[in-house]
Amino acid sequence: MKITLSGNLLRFSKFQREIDVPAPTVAEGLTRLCGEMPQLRPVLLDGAGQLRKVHRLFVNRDQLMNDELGRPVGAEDEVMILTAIAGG
Amino acid sequence: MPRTVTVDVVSDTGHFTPLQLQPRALLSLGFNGLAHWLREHLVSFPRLIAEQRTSVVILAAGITYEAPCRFFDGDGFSLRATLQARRQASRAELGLEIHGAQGRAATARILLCPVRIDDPVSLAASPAPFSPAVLGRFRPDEIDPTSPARPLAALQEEVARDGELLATGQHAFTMHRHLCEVADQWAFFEVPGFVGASREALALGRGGDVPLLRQGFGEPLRRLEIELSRPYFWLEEGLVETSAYRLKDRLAMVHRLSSNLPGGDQHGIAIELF
Repeated sequence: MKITLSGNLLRFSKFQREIDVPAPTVAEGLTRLCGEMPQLRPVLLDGAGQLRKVHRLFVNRDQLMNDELGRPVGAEDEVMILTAIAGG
Repeated sequence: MPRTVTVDVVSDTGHFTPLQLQPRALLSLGFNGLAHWLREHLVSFPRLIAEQRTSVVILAAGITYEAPCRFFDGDGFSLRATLQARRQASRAELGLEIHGAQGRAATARILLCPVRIDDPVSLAASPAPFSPAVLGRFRPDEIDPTSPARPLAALQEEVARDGELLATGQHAFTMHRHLCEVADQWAFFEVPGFVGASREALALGRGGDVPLLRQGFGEPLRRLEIELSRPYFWLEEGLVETSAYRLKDRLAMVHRLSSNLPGGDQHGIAIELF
């Protein structure tokens, strides 16, 4: 799958915005992403390894809840991780 | 009386257009007024974030221009800022007055939403009322349980009801880093620049057949109202969709800020009255 990161996360991803991560599920992709980019782990995931609530995750523009991260994905699927906050 | 801070600003040419104090400069200086107020009466902005794990995001802002205030009117102007906690401390309102050589030049307000810093590294945050520790530093007369007004909604209704649509246009932009703040999300005081660019592009393209559009070039802005619903982050692309109206023989511009990001495309609305 191809993971796209929100702009405020780029300083933790060596300023890579789009990253190809081969993985069978979204959850596995996140784990591999954080393995490749350890600085991202504490920013994206909480102590229990769950996606922090401040981030929203979309697969092909559909939002995925935390309990749906086991969804299977293919190489062409686009995953976006956006930071959620109201206001400006 | 709620506590205030007064900041004396020495004029430089960048603060002004030929007509007035730039709205961007006014909002930026106003936000700095918040930092002054926090340092003097609560805790400095960096310590508020680092030690209290509290920050604010901007929900709305507005400027009403009053007396003229131009570059050659004097050596400077002063800014007076007052902060109040509102709506069970889930909002805060910064009131601003700008005084120049000819009296009160403008009033402004910035509506803030307190947030709890969930991650001190990325500064990612979630809305949360001020903690008792932070709220305890406000004086009783700086705490107002009522909800703040939403002047943009009333203005939007007025334009829809009484305005005559003249022209529409759009302006695309990219959120480069010089437009962002410390957490790599946009700085709200750049909104007047984005919407101004869209307004000027529309006047350049259509001003020949819709002369009222040129009022935005030659006359000072009288009022600006902004409501924000979603930030842009560094390198994201945005769009300003602008509709120009005749409202009581004056120019009114309604700007919708959007993007093609998933999760809702509207980022905010701004209305300018000339």
